[in-house]
Amino acid sequence: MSTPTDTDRQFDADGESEDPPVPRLASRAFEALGTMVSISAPMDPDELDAAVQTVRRVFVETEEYFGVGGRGSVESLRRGETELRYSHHRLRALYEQAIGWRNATEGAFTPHAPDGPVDLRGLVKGWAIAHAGQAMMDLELPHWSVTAGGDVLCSGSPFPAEPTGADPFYGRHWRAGITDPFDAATLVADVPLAGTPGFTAALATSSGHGYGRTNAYLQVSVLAEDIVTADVLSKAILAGGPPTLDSAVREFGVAVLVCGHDGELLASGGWPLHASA
Amino acid sequence: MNIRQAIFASVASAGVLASGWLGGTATTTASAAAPSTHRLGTVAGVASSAHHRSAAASTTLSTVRRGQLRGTEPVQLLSGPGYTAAGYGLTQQAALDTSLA
Repeated sequence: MSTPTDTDRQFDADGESEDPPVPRLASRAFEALGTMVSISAPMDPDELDAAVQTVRRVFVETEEYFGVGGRGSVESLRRGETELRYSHHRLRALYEQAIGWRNATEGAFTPHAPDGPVDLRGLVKGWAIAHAGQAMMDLELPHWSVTAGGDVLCSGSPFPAEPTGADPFYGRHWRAGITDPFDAATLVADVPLAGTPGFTAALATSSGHGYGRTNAYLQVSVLAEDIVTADVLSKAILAGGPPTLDSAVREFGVAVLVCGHDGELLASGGWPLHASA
Repeated sequence: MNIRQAIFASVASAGVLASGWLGGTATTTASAAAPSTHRLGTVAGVASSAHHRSAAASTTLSTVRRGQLRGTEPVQLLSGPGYTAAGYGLTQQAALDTSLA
């Protein structure tokens, strides 16, 4: 775990001066699982710092729990240096979960690299984000977001209509941008997420740069209730193409946005569109 | 119906539910990762391999214009394919700064 690179950013209420005073949206970021983790919540920075310590602990324990990084268990499996049957039961349990997803997606999602080794890094990240969100819930925080490596999980609102705790049931939703697959410094779409405390929304995006395969799409974004579902299905749709996408929308109730290799953008019926177009 | 579902039903019926995309139940998840009750691909062999690109067209997707996907409101969160810590931080921060500009 590296030294944190904290940021503290304030957003205004978009000119809605008639709104009651809202807590400042504060953000903290730190490095974990080989990527950046960001926690945002409309609360006093000191309070957020305390909450972030809990979330940071979740990620630290995840790294220790699954042996991520360096010569840990996950990396040893990925390099083929360790056989799964000799791995810790925690990893075997995670692998069983991955196999469940493989079966559910008719093989479109797989925890195996094409040449055989088991790669559980993606599931470990989703596992950590989910537990980080649960930690925020356990702290009885109604409005928060957790992002890690481009995966988003959030609850409540960045701009609650009332100070947190007084009336947590109404507020502006979070808005998440999706990076353009042709230019990661710009956005191709943005979507409203959550808005009601206690009900999570997750967004995951996968690109076509994996193991040298020719994927069906260049980039796939999935909206789901939980981050593991969003993450796994984005990877499955990327590899499995239209049949997997149709089944995912039908069976899991997710919304999907895909970008084809030619730049064409296609959205499922549940994808939130801007009416002004 | 648990307490969160009750709250959800209450606020939804009162018309005060915020309009963001939202899952239909009120759990966060740590235990929501198992797909045991769902199964994709009801036609055998349709998506039998992750290595094959299907030529079948999706019956779910519709072509959308970029103008339908981007609004004018600033974003607070960013989603994109995973990068290393350094690469992700740089590109994502650039995108966020562009959105807020």
